[in-house]
Amino acid sequence: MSNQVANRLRFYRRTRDLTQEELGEALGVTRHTIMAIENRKYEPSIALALKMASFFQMPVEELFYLEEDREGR
Amino acid sequence: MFTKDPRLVFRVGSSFLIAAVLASGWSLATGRMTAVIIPCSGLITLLWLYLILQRWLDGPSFARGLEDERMWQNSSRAMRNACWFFYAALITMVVVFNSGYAQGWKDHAGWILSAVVYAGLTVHMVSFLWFKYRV
Repeated sequence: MSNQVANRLRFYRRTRDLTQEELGEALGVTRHTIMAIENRKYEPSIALALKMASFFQMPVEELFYLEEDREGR
Repeated sequence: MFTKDPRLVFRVGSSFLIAAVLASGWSLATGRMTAVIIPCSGLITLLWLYLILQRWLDGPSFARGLEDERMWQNSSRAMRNACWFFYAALITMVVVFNSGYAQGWKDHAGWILSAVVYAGLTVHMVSFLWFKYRV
């Protein structure tokens, strides 16, 4: 059973028609960090995850979830 | 104090680079303190090139690099690698210098230390770039 953190960041970024650079600008991080999160090479801090949720105006668990949760759905 | 303004980083870096070039010129002309000033100037030039490389690779994103949590995490991981290198290098130097056949090495201890510092800094830079761009 995997406990890896997955995310829907790429999906929601694209629905808002934002580039990684623009999202990084809005959140105060580099585009490499956005890229790393989307590719699941980096798990953001709680503060950054909350900033992202606030930016997209949705609960943080809509953006980030445990891999096993999705398998269980 | 750390700054979050990349323009200030470039301004300070440029000042150091100019000072390094002037000091190198003076050192080479007079032949004084060459073993200290030339390696230090080389290090400053290397750091300057490193900053330019980062600016070129990151584009406008470079401005947020100093407040990006992942960059700080990468930096501490790269520092850990460099510290392991320094630790191993210093232990090796102590062993070699106390081996009884080390007079030739001891005569060039300044240059050897400079080479170790250069190599350690290179380990840090390569590690940082690896962690940063391996996405």
